[in-house]
Amino acid sequence: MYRSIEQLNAVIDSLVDSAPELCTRIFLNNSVQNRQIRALRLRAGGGTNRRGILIVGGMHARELMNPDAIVELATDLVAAYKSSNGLAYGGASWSSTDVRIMMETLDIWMLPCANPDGRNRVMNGDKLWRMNLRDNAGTTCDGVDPNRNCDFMWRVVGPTTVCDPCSTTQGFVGSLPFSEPEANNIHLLCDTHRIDVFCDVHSFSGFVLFPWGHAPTQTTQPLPNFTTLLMGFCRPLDPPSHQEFMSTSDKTKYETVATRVKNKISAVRGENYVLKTIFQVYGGPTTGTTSDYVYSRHIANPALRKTFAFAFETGPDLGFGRTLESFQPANPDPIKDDTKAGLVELINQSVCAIEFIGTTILGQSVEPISAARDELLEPTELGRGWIEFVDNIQVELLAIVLSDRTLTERAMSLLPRVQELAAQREKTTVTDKDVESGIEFLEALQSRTKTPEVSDGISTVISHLKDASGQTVEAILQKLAKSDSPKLY
Amino acid sequence: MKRSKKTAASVEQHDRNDALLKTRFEATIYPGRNAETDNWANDLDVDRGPDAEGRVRAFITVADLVRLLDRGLEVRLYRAHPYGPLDPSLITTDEAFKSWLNEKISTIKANPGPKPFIEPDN
Repeated sequence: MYRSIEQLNAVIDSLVDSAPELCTRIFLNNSVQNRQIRALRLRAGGGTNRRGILIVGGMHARELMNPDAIVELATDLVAAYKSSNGLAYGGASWSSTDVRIMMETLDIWMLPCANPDGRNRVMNGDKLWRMNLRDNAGTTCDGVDPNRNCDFMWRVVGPTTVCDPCSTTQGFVGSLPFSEPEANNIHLLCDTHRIDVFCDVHSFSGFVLFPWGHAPTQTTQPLPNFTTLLMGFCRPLDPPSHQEFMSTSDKTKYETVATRVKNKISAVRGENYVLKTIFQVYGGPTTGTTSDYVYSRHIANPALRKTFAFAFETGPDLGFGRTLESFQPANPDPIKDDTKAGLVELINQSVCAIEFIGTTILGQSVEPISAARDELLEPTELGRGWIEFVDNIQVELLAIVLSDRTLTERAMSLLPRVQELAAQREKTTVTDKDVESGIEFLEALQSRTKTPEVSDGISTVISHLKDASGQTVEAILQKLAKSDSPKLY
Repeated sequence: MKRSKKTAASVEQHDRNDALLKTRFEATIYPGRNAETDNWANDLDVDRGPDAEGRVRAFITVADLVRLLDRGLEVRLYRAHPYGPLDPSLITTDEAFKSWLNEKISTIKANPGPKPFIEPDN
């Protein structure tokens, strides 16, 4: 069963009314047919400049399941936080601490129904409608595809991207980049709020997607990149052999996070989502998409923050003759559970304990620490094992730190020194006092954790730290990148 | 009388034709005899959807079908979907919606939630 636009809006309004301390509603640009478009922000507690995640659904009208899944996810997160419960979908679960850390360290933005006019058309006119309801001037044909209307390789045509408003493709690019309010709202949210992670939820086929869409992705040649390619001329990609650059570090991050999301989806009831780039979906250029636009912003304008942008294609391919049912199954509940699990895991993966303490509490950049991690640990498999180890224990340890004022203050006093050592990672050496303070802090954490594997992991870290005196951070991390990390779960 | 019967029949025929023209067929498309490049599927100008196996899969109209066949492409049809709205039985009734929402909101209202680690700024 699928909710009407009024019902989707009523969920948002009721959440804001019943939990105003957690839920904030903002009205974005109205749709082409002047319908209100609501976004919802979930956040508990305080702190400025938090990391943000934006989840978007319903951009393509006939993909009906996802707006429902997103409003249900919002209610589930608020209910789980308020009742101090964990969250579970089938066999995928998150503890109450996980939920608390997500809600208290992130700004979780949701735009459940990005294209309400299209949804109305599906429910009341044409069940296969995909676009918005733009009345295209000079034609009798309606509709622009908002997911082809973004300012990224706009008007570069391909398998699902066309310049003819009367094409049956339902992929018309519109009259200008971001001419459509439904697409422009993504631009608006990214410009006005801190968004570190983005996900545009589509259907179907069971994919977890990431850039690029306009060309195959490669990691060896930074130039020429998309900023030098021709666009806006209603021609195919030129040159057709172009492959778009993505740093190895970003590609690794995309693959790592997407794998964790896929695994969590699989834990619900065994569905096997597949990782792909957006280009691979149609085997040809897909341009003007929200995900490529959002990720490309920091490359087109280096002053802007980098946002890791994903897309889901939710629900299985039910086979030939069942395509409509794949878009609009009679019982979407199991698929919505998969989707919600994938989204919760993506939210969970967006948490960064060090950044929360450094940036949100102390108001300082943790960039030197991130850079040292990316440049020294990420390139090796063993190094990535250490990153995964930290990712897996950070939520539990952050909760321990934040629930004890003394520990919070100790973390706040240690972090600037860690930043200093990371910023001068080739010159400044770790002192005996640094080692002593670090071990003392880790032992305090160890004494409070109730998870034996985490305690064992901390022991391994302490043993490495004991040898750190007199060494630079560069040397320490280089050594770690060749050492086994603790195995947790 | 004879004349009006003919008119009614022609209106009916016109409606049938109109409905057929608006019908979408689930199809897969193959390069057929005239495929000249590897990129043959990039400019088909049809309403494509994703396919788990990467096949060229689309909703097409009769006009699309004729055009694709004229290009020498091979088209397989699987099912016809008459033009029309979503089956109303798939839309949540207001009663069911209110019941679901009331249950969710009552859980939310019944619990105060934890004291946040960091107090809100205002």
